[in-house]
Amino acid sequence: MVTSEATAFASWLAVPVALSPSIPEALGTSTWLVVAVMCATIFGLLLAFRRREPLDRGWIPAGMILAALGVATWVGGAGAGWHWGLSVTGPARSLLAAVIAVDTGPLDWGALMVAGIPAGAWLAARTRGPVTWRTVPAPTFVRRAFGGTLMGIGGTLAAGCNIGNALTGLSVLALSSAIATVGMAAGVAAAVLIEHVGRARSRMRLAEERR
Amino acid sequence: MRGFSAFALGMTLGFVLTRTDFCMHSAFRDAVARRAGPSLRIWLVALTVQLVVVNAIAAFGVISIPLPITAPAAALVGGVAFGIGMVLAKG
Repeated sequence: MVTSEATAFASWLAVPVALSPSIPEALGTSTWLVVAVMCATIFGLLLAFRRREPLDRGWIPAGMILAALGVATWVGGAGAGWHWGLSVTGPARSLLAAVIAVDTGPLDWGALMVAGIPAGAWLAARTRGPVTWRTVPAPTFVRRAFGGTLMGIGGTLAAGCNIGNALTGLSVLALSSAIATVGMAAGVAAAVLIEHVGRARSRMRLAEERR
Repeated sequence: MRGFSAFALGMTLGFVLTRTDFCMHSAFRDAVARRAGPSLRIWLVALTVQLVVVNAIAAFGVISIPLPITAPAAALVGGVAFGIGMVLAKG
Protein backbone atom coordinates (compact mmCIF):
# COMPACT_ATOMS: atom_id res chain seq x y z
CA MET A 1 0.00 0.00 0.00
CA VAL A 2 1.16 3.48 -0.80
CA THR A 3 1.61 5.65 2.26
CA SER A 4 -0.61 8.69 2.61
CA GLU A 5 2.43 10.99 2.45
CA ALA A 6 3.39 9.63 -0.97
CA THR A 7 -0.19 9.99 -2.14
CA ALA A 8 -0.32 13.55 -0.87
CA PHE A 9 2.98 14.37 -2.62
CA ALA A 10 1.75 12.85 -5.88
CA SER A 11 -1.50 14.79 -5.81
CA TRP A 12 0.40 17.97 -4.89
CA LEU A 13 2.60 17.44 -7.95
CA ALA A 14 -0.35 16.59 -10.14
CA VAL A 15 -2.13 19.91 -9.59
CA PRO A 16 -3.16 21.10 -13.05
CA VAL A 17 -2.45 24.67 -14.11
CA ALA A 18 -4.69 27.01 -16.01
CA LEU A 19 -2.93 26.28 -19.29
CA SER A 20 -4.51 24.77 -22.35
CA PRO A 21 -3.69 21.05 -22.74
CA SER A 22 -2.75 21.65 -26.36
CA ILE A 23 0.51 23.24 -27.57
CA PRO A 24 -1.06 25.29 -30.40
CA GLU A 25 -3.82 26.58 -28.10
CA ALA A 26 -1.31 27.54 -25.40
CA LEU A 27 0.74 29.37 -28.05
CA GLY A 28 -2.35 30.91 -29.61
CA THR A 29 -1.69 29.51 -33.07
CA SER A 30 -3.24 26.85 -35.29
CA THR A 31 -2.59 23.12 -35.08
CA TRP A 32 -1.33 22.99 -38.64
CA LEU A 33 1.22 25.74 -38.14
CA VAL A 34 2.75 23.83 -35.20
CA VAL A 35 2.63 20.56 -37.19
CA ALA A 36 4.32 22.25 -40.16
CA VAL A 37 7.08 23.79 -38.03
CA MET A 38 7.75 20.49 -36.22
CA CYS A 39 7.78 18.47 -39.46
CA ALA A 40 10.10 20.97 -41.16
CA THR A 41 12.48 20.91 -38.17
CA ILE A 42 12.55 17.10 -38.10
CA PHE A 43 13.02 16.94 -41.87
CA GLY A 44 15.98 19.30 -41.65
CA LEU A 45 17.47 17.27 -38.80
CA LEU A 46 17.12 14.00 -40.72
CA LEU A 47 18.75 15.51 -43.82
CA ALA A 48 21.65 16.76 -41.67
CA PHE A 49 21.96 13.30 -40.09
CA ARG A 50 22.13 11.66 -43.50
CA ARG A 51 24.80 14.00 -44.69
CA ARG A 52 26.86 13.61 -41.53
CA GLU A 53 26.51 9.89 -41.02
CA PRO A 54 25.24 7.71 -43.87
CA LEU A 55 23.28 4.79 -42.48
CA ASP A 56 21.52 1.80 -43.98
CA ARG A 57 18.11 3.10 -45.18
CA GLY A 58 16.18 0.58 -43.04
CA TRP A 59 15.22 3.32 -40.58
CA ILE A 60 12.85 4.98 -43.05
CA PRO A 61 10.46 2.02 -43.51
CA ALA A 62 10.90 1.13 -39.82
CA GLY A 63 9.68 4.57 -38.77
CA MET A 64 6.80 4.39 -41.22
CA ILE A 65 5.69 0.96 -39.99
CA LEU A 66 5.83 2.21 -36.40
CA ALA A 67 3.71 5.24 -37.37
CA ALA A 68 1.25 2.98 -39.23
CA LEU A 69 0.86 0.89 -36.07
CA GLY A 70 0.30 4.09 -34.11
CA VAL A 71 -2.44 5.20 -36.50
CA ALA A 72 -3.95 1.70 -36.45
CA THR A 73 -4.08 1.92 -32.65
CA TRP A 74 -5.94 5.24 -32.81
CA VAL A 75 -8.43 3.94 -35.38
CA GLY A 76 -8.73 0.34 -34.15
CA GLY A 77 -9.01 1.22 -30.49
CA ALA A 78 -11.58 4.01 -30.92
CA GLY A 79 -14.45 1.56 -31.38
CA ALA A 80 -13.47 -0.21 -28.19
CA GLY A 81 -13.25 2.97 -26.14
CA TRP A 82 -9.48 3.34 -26.46
CA HIS A 83 -8.97 7.01 -27.34
CA TRP A 84 -5.19 7.24 -27.52
CA GLY A 85 -2.39 5.91 -29.72
CA LEU A 86 0.42 3.56 -28.79
CA SER A 87 0.99 3.55 -25.07
CA VAL A 88 2.39 1.14 -22.54
CA THR A 89 2.22 2.56 -18.99
CA GLY A 90 -1.55 2.95 -18.66
CA PRO A 91 -2.42 -0.43 -20.19
CA ALA A 92 0.36 -2.14 -18.21
CA ARG A 93 -1.30 -0.85 -15.04
CA SER A 94 -4.65 -2.22 -16.15
CA LEU A 95 -3.00 -5.54 -16.99
CA LEU A 96 -1.23 -5.72 -13.62
CA ALA A 97 -4.44 -4.87 -11.78
CA ALA A 98 -6.19 -7.72 -13.59
CA VAL A 99 -3.36 -10.16 -12.81
CA ILE A 100 -3.28 -9.36 -9.09
CA ALA A 101 -7.09 -9.39 -9.06
CA VAL A 102 -7.70 -5.81 -8.06
CA ASP A 103 -11.15 -4.89 -9.25
CA THR A 104 -10.52 -1.94 -11.55
CA GLY A 105 -13.08 -2.81 -14.16
CA PRO A 106 -12.68 -4.88 -17.30
CA LEU A 107 -9.35 -5.23 -19.07
CA ASP A 108 -9.15 -2.38 -21.57
CA TRP A 109 -8.26 -2.57 -25.26
CA GLY A 110 -4.79 -1.16 -24.60
CA ALA A 111 -4.03 -3.83 -22.00
CA LEU A 112 -4.64 -6.57 -24.56
CA MET A 113 -2.45 -4.68 -27.02
CA VAL A 114 0.38 -4.54 -24.48
CA ALA A 115 -0.07 -8.24 -23.73
CA GLY A 116 0.61 -8.93 -27.41
CA ILE A 117 4.00 -7.16 -27.43
CA PRO A 118 6.08 -9.91 -25.74
CA ALA A 119 4.31 -12.53 -27.86
CA GLY A 120 5.34 -10.70 -31.04
CA ALA A 121 8.85 -10.13 -29.75
CA TRP A 122 9.15 -13.84 -28.99
CA LEU A 123 7.90 -14.73 -32.48
CA ALA A 124 10.40 -12.36 -34.10
CA ALA A 125 13.24 -13.94 -32.12
CA ARG A 126 12.04 -17.52 -32.51
CA THR A 127 11.78 -17.31 -36.31
CA ARG A 128 15.45 -16.32 -36.36
CA GLY A 129 16.69 -19.12 -34.11
CA PRO A 130 16.23 -20.81 -30.76
CA VAL A 131 15.13 -18.66 -27.83
CA THR A 132 16.39 -19.27 -24.31
CA TRP A 133 15.82 -17.60 -20.95
CA ARG A 134 18.80 -15.67 -19.73
CA THR A 135 19.66 -14.45 -16.28
CA VAL A 136 21.80 -11.44 -15.54
CA PRO A 137 24.35 -11.13 -12.72
CA ALA A 138 22.77 -10.13 -9.39
CA PRO A 139 24.05 -6.50 -9.37
CA THR A 140 22.68 -5.98 -12.88
CA PHE A 141 19.37 -7.50 -11.82
CA VAL A 142 19.09 -5.09 -8.87
CA ARG A 143 20.03 -2.15 -11.09
CA ARG A 144 17.43 -3.08 -13.69
CA ALA A 145 14.73 -3.75 -11.12
CA PHE A 146 15.41 -0.36 -9.51
CA GLY A 147 15.33 1.29 -12.93
CA GLY A 148 12.07 -0.48 -13.72
CA THR A 149 10.55 0.79 -10.48
CA LEU A 150 11.62 4.35 -11.31
CA MET A 151 10.07 3.91 -14.76
CA GLY A 152 6.82 2.76 -13.16
CA ILE A 153 6.68 5.68 -10.74
CA GLY A 154 7.80 8.20 -13.36
CA GLY A 155 5.46 6.85 -16.02
CA THR A 156 2.53 7.02 -13.62
CA LEU A 157 3.32 10.59 -12.51
CA ALA A 158 3.93 11.82 -16.05
CA ALA A 159 0.85 9.95 -17.31
CA GLY A 160 2.81 7.98 -19.84
CA CYS A 161 6.06 6.33 -20.83
CA ASN A 162 8.50 7.13 -23.60
CA ILE A 163 6.13 5.75 -26.27
CA GLY A 164 2.93 7.23 -24.81
CA ASN A 165 4.43 10.69 -24.33
CA ALA A 166 7.38 11.13 -26.69
CA LEU A 167 5.68 9.48 -29.67
CA THR A 168 1.89 9.48 -29.24
CA GLY A 169 1.39 12.52 -27.00
CA LEU A 170 3.86 14.68 -28.86
CA SER A 171 2.29 13.82 -32.22
CA VAL A 172 -1.11 15.07 -31.00
CA LEU A 173 0.57 18.19 -29.59
CA ALA A 174 -0.24 17.53 -25.95
CA LEU A 175 1.52 20.12 -23.78
CA SER A 176 1.98 17.71 -20.86
CA SER A 177 3.64 15.18 -23.20
CA ALA A 178 6.06 17.84 -24.43
CA ILE A 179 7.00 18.69 -20.82
CA ALA A 180 7.37 14.99 -19.96
CA THR A 181 9.56 14.45 -23.05
CA VAL A 182 11.87 17.29 -22.01
CA GLY A 183 11.96 15.75 -18.50
CA MET A 184 12.86 12.32 -19.89
CA ALA A 185 15.69 13.76 -21.97
CA ALA A 186 16.97 15.58 -18.86
CA GLY A 187 16.70 12.38 -16.78
CA VAL A 188 18.58 10.36 -19.41
CA ALA A 189 21.26 13.06 -19.67
CA ALA A 190 21.71 13.15 -15.88
CA ALA A 191 21.89 9.36 -15.57
CA VAL A 192 24.34 9.04 -18.48
CA LEU A 193 26.55 11.74 -16.94
CA ILE A 194 26.56 9.97 -13.56
CA GLU A 195 27.35 6.68 -15.33
CA HIS A 196 30.35 8.25 -17.10
CA VAL A 197 31.67 9.84 -13.91
CA GLY A 198 31.29 6.52 -12.06
CA ARG A 199 33.11 4.64 -14.82
CA ALA A 200 35.93 7.17 -14.98
CA ARG A 201 36.34 6.94 -11.18
CA SER A 202 36.56 3.15 -11.15
CA ARG A 203 39.05 3.27 -14.03
CA MET A 204 41.21 5.70 -12.04
CA ARG A 205 40.96 3.47 -8.97
CA LEU A 206 42.04 0.44 -11.00
CA ALA A 207 44.98 2.37 -12.44
CA GLU A 208 46.07 3.44 -8.97
CA GLU A 209 45.86 -0.11 -7.62
CA ARG A 210 48.05 -1.36 -10.44
CA ARG A 211 50.69 1.23 -9.73
CA MET B 1 -13.14 -9.88 -31.52
CA ARG B 2 -11.97 -6.38 -30.61
CA GLY B 3 -9.72 -7.89 -28.00
CA PHE B 4 -8.23 -10.08 -30.68
CA SER B 5 -7.46 -7.06 -32.87
CA ALA B 6 -5.73 -5.43 -29.88
CA PHE B 7 -3.62 -8.51 -29.19
CA ALA B 8 -2.75 -8.88 -32.90
CA LEU B 9 -1.69 -5.22 -33.07
CA GLY B 10 0.46 -5.58 -29.98
CA MET B 11 2.03 -8.72 -31.42
CA THR B 12 2.86 -6.91 -34.65
CA LEU B 13 4.39 -4.10 -32.60
CA GLY B 14 6.51 -6.55 -30.60
CA PHE B 15 7.63 -8.24 -33.82
CA VAL B 16 8.55 -4.93 -35.49
CA LEU B 17 10.34 -3.56 -32.40
CA THR B 18 12.46 -6.69 -32.14
CA ARG B 19 13.30 -6.90 -35.84
CA THR B 20 14.12 -3.20 -36.24
CA ASP B 21 15.98 -2.97 -32.91
CA PHE B 22 14.02 0.20 -32.21
CA CYS B 23 14.41 1.37 -28.66
CA MET B 24 13.36 4.65 -27.06
CA HIS B 25 16.23 4.35 -24.58
CA SER B 26 18.72 4.32 -27.48
CA ALA B 27 16.84 7.15 -29.19
CA PHE B 28 17.10 9.37 -26.11
CA ARG B 29 20.74 8.45 -25.52
CA ASP B 30 21.49 9.25 -29.17
CA ALA B 31 19.78 12.62 -28.83
CA VAL B 32 21.59 13.47 -25.60
CA ALA B 33 24.97 12.42 -27.03
CA ARG B 34 24.20 14.16 -30.37
CA ARG B 35 24.60 10.91 -32.25
CA ALA B 36 22.49 10.20 -35.30
CA GLY B 37 21.72 6.56 -34.47
CA PRO B 38 19.02 4.43 -36.11
CA SER B 39 16.61 4.51 -33.11
CA LEU B 40 16.63 8.31 -33.04
CA ARG B 41 15.92 8.39 -36.78
CA ILE B 42 13.11 5.80 -36.52
CA TRP B 43 11.51 7.84 -33.73
CA LEU B 44 11.73 11.08 -35.74
CA VAL B 45 10.24 9.46 -38.86
CA ALA B 46 7.38 7.90 -36.86
CA LEU B 47 6.75 11.20 -35.09
CA THR B 48 6.56 13.16 -38.37
CA VAL B 49 4.22 10.67 -40.07
CA GLN B 50 1.96 10.57 -37.00
CA LEU B 51 1.97 14.38 -36.70
CA VAL B 52 0.49 14.61 -40.18
CA VAL B 53 -1.75 11.54 -40.32
CA VAL B 54 -3.20 11.52 -36.79
CA ASN B 55 -3.98 15.24 -36.82
CA ALA B 56 -5.48 14.90 -40.31
CA ILE B 57 -7.82 12.03 -39.44
CA ALA B 58 -8.79 13.90 -36.26
CA ALA B 59 -9.61 16.98 -38.36
CA PHE B 60 -11.84 14.78 -40.55
CA GLY B 61 -13.58 13.46 -37.45
CA VAL B 62 -12.40 9.84 -37.82
CA ILE B 63 -11.02 9.89 -34.28
CA SER B 64 -11.34 12.21 -31.33
CA ILE B 65 -8.27 13.20 -29.32
CA PRO B 66 -8.86 13.74 -25.62
CA LEU B 67 -5.78 15.65 -24.48
CA PRO B 68 -4.59 15.05 -20.92
CA ILE B 69 -4.77 18.05 -18.57
CA THR B 70 -1.52 19.95 -18.09
CA ALA B 71 0.11 19.24 -14.73
CA PRO B 72 3.62 20.59 -15.44
CA ALA B 73 5.24 19.58 -12.14
CA ALA B 74 4.03 15.97 -12.34
CA ALA B 75 4.96 15.74 -16.03
CA LEU B 76 8.46 17.11 -15.42
CA VAL B 77 9.25 15.16 -12.23
CA GLY B 78 7.73 11.99 -13.68
CA GLY B 79 9.64 12.48 -16.91
CA VAL B 80 12.97 12.94 -15.12
CA ALA B 81 12.34 9.86 -12.92
CA PHE B 82 11.39 7.86 -16.00
CA GLY B 83 14.50 9.02 -17.85
CA ILE B 84 16.81 7.97 -15.01
CA GLY B 85 14.93 4.66 -14.71
CA MET B 86 15.30 4.07 -18.44
CA VAL B 87 19.10 4.30 -18.25
CA LEU B 88 19.28 2.06 -15.16
CA ALA B 89 16.93 -0.55 -16.63
CA LYS B 90 18.36 -0.18 -20.14
CA GLY B 91 14.87 -0.08 -21.60
